[in-house]
Amino acid sequence: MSLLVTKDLVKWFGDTHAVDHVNFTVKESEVLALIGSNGAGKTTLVNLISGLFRPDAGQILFRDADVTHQSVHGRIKAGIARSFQLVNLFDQLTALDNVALTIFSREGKIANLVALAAADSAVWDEAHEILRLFGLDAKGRMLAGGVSQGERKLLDVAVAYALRPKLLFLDEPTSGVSTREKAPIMDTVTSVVRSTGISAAIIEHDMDVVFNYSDRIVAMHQGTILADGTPDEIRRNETVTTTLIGTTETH
Amino acid sequence: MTFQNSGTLATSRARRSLARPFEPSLLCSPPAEQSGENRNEWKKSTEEHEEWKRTTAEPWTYRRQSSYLIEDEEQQGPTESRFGISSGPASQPGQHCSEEEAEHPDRHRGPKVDGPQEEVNGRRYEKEETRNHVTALVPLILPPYGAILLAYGLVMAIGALGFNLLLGYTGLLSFGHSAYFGVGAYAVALMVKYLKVGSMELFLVGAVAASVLITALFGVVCVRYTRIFFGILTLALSQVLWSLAFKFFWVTGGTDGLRVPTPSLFGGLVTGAGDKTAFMSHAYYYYVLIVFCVCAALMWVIVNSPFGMALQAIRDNETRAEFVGVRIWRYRWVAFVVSGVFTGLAGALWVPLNGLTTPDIMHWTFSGEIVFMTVLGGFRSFAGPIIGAIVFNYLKTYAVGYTVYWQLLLGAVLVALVLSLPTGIVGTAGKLAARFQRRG
Repeated sequence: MSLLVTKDLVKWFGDTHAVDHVNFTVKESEVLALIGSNGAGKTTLVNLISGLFRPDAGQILFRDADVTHQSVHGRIKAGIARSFQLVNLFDQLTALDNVALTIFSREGKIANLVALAAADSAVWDEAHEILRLFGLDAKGRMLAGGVSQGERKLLDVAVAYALRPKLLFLDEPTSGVSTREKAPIMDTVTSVVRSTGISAAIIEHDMDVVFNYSDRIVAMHQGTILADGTPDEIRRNETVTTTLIGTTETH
Repeated sequence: MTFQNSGTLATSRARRSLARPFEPSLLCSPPAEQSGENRNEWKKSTEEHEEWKRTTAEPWTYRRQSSYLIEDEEQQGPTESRFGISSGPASQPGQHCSEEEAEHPDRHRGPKVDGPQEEVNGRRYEKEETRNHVTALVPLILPPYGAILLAYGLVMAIGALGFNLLLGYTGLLSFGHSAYFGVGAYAVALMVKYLKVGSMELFLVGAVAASVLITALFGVVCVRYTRIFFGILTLALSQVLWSLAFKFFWVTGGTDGLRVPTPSLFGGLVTGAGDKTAFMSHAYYYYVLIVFCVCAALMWVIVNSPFGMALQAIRDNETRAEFVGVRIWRYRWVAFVVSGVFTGLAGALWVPLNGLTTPDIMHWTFSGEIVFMTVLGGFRSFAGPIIGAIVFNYLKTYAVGYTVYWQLLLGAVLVALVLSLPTGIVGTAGKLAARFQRRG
């Protein structure tokens, strides 16, 4: 069953078709990888779905409801959350505060001016639990701006996860980290996602990560969808292989 | 007493001023650039002011207005009360006083006080002739002048706390907080003028209501912008209010401002009858202290609430804050209103202390002072604005008393302090404490 469907989604930047009549779907409880070269339109597509950009044409349906013209806040309420390619955290707050703030927001408690945040033990317990899930419990008291890049990437995902979304977009969760750190990060992220049954759409350039961790792969090229299939199907797709992945020639 | 150099407008103004109880602001002529019609408007304003005073219940006397002024004032030359409001024969920059006024400032202070006097810290003060029942119970911890000075500091601390909700916690630098301070002060003065209200509690309620109204309107315009655009918008809007206060003299008293009598406190349980110095340095001081404690506690709860966390999130990363569900404009607007209300409350507490409100407190330069006291104390800490406001108040007061070039002296001292303490007084103290702890 499809969780998210886009119908002929279009986004222009001047004369450039960043997203050109894209029909994209995400199914329930799947880990989907969105691949493509730089400028293929992956991040623009996620920005359109998450509400950062407004589409020029087309429709976005989430759980059969039209969210095309909803605000970011409305989409979050509906169950769409995202992380960012460049880590976007509240650097002057602790890692624990980053997660707790998100929980306060999710619970609708954030408008409360006259109650001490520290007094809400349920929120802090949940924040601790989320940090533990992502292996960051030891970093809870550190400022978010002071932890390592790999931990920042994980914290970025943890903050998005704290919204308890039904669909989580992860924009290059392993970019900017060492090769050695990539597997632990993806192990952690996919185990949390799979254990809670939510869907995740991961934008990724590292093909090892893509083929090892995703159930389905959507390949984009020049604003359009080039291919859509399982990892094995994408491996055998000559168009994708020659356009995006490349081949190893033997002499 | 006669004036030798009659014929100038300044002198005739000074002569008129002697025919009635002392009013510092009326001693100086209108600004030099005012002439013709403006001067006539100013005269009309003065006459209306006189008429209003005749209809008020309490007579205004020098003793009630400025009895806490130190006697050695004349040796130090003209002085200025805190925040640039003239409280003696001194003139504001751009205003005139006659030469005689400058040479004999004591002549314009009204009748000498014949009552008994007491000496505190080498300075003579009028002895308190009457003390109300509350001040009689309050232990005398500080000398009257020190208590009044600290009261000014605490009042400004409330304003700086409000300002820092925007700067330190929301990341918005406002250059328009003088407007909200002025709204609080003028709300009180207009309540006195038109409603004949004398209760401090009603003053505070009125000031809060006026501040909410103005900041809610201004906030709608300003919070859609950040950085320099936000700063310029707040500055421009504050200057609009300043010019209204300046030009609508039939309502606001123009440059003469509006007087505010000594209010009654605690629903009339404590009245300002008797010695004003005693009242201000005891009952009113403790009243300010109580309001300050309540405001500080309230602000502490606000910045440590989920709402306060949301403001800090907006400050750190607006985009991410939006993507965790924080409605940016709405929260900024609420912070703007809360900030303005605290500053308005400070204005309401300030005006009975000063006895007079003029458009000067709405001018952007006063916004600069609020910014400066916050940065001086340290805008990254909760206590920073409090410490900064009190320290700034002392620095300014003693700079004014030390030299006529007090702006130069104060500027030099403040530049030195900011350069040597980039994280403010509280931030530097925290760093030093941490260093000592590590060594220990």
